[in-house]
Amino acid sequence: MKKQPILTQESFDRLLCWLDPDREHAAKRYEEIRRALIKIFARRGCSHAEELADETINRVIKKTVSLATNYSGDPAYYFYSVAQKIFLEYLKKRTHQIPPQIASTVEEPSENYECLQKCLERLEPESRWLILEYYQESKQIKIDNRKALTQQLNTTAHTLRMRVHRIKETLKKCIIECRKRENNK
Amino acid sequence: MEQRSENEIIIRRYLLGFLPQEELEKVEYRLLSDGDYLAEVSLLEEELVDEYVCGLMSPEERQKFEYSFLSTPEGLEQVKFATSLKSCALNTASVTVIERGSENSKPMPLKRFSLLSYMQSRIAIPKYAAAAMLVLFLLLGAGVAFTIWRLQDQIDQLRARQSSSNLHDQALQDQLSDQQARNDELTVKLQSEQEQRSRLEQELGSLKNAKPDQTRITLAGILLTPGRARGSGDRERLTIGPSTARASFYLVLRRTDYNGYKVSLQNEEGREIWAADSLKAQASGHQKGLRFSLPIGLLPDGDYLLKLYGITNQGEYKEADNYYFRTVRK
Repeated sequence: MKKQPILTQESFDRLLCWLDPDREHAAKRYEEIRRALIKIFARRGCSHAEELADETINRVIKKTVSLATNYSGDPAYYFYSVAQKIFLEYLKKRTHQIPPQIASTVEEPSENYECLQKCLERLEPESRWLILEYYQESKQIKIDNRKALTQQLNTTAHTLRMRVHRIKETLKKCIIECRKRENNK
Repeated sequence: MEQRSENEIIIRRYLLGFLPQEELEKVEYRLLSDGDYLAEVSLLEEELVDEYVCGLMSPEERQKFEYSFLSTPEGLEQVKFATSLKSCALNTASVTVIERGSENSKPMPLKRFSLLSYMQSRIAIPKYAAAAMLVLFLLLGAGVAFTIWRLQDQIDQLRARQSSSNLHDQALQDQLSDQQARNDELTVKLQSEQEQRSRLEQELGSLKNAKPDQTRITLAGILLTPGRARGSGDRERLTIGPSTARASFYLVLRRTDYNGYKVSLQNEEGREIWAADSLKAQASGHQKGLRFSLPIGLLPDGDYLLKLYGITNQGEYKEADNYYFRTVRK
């Protein structure tokens, strides 16, 4: 069962206050920490990374009263140490193996494929061209293609990655809306 | 493989689970404490997914990737999304080539477009062959364009000549039309003058033959002095003949120091039937008077009053005198 963070307005305010005196900065830090925790647990092979991240935050929130007065240092370190403990607890409980059908699940066409096609059509022509070019070909030709793209666009690999990332984020949002519309029909 | 920074190499090894514990903890701590580092790791994560989907990983990397990414719903979702994108890209590739020129599939990059690079990415031919083909196409194109230009120039010249000749013909035609119009005008004028001459000759003839008409009176005149009695017996009489056209008046002025005069003609009922303003006094011997004339139609038989007003320097009208007369027809 997925556990939500124990967030009341009061406890959330306490946490934000502990993260940063500026509320806006504090909210941004909170989001970054939560995303980082999910990533950490996921990269360690935890199947419920989001739940474990929220559990970490829950435990930190419980301690914010004493942390505010007794703790000095980067809050990130405290989160990390709590996360380590939670990971150890997880290891004791889990029996991890990849279900054999996952690989084939990946190969099956996604239920979002139709929406993806529609969303690709809605992209600006240049963005559509870039994202499709980026996924063209395979193996060595793909690597050469990426190099050619960076030269063509007079940009770096990092910037190309950023552009592709933004286009993919746009597509993901579009697909979510498309799925909503399909479900409402 | 493209050049990667040391940072990127470490992140990649972290994501695939190759980092030793100590280095792994450093990376994870930095993820929690540095937002920019988190964003960079997310980007490289996406690239790793792309490499997996496109089959660019070694078997060992693949195994590690599947262990860490495919065991989470989020990782699975990322991989599915990338797989779908790849399918779309491969399906669209052939359509893009066929529909070249269509706006939606035009393969235009965001910034610079190198035809050579584009061709290289599409067709696996050596660079120099592609360059040679390009040069050949350009030369052929230039030749065709030059020939078309020459032919177009010749056509334009022929058209210009034809147009010039048409203009000349048109000018001659216009001259001819003008001349004809002028001739017509002169003909009409000549005819009119001939008719006028004939009429004048007739009039001259009739004038020579006509006798003067002694009884024809066209103008009736009357001299009026102010202050004559109002009674009908003492009124001046204006006699109007059958052919009288106008009545001429001369009013003797008692006061001559006004700038100007106004005269108002009233009938027996006291209604003004005529007026004249800004009249100037005219000297006649030792006296001054006002001269004016009226059409006789205004004066049916009856008694009339002429009221005289003097106009002062300030432009005011002051009553000056009254003149009474009677019109009688014979």
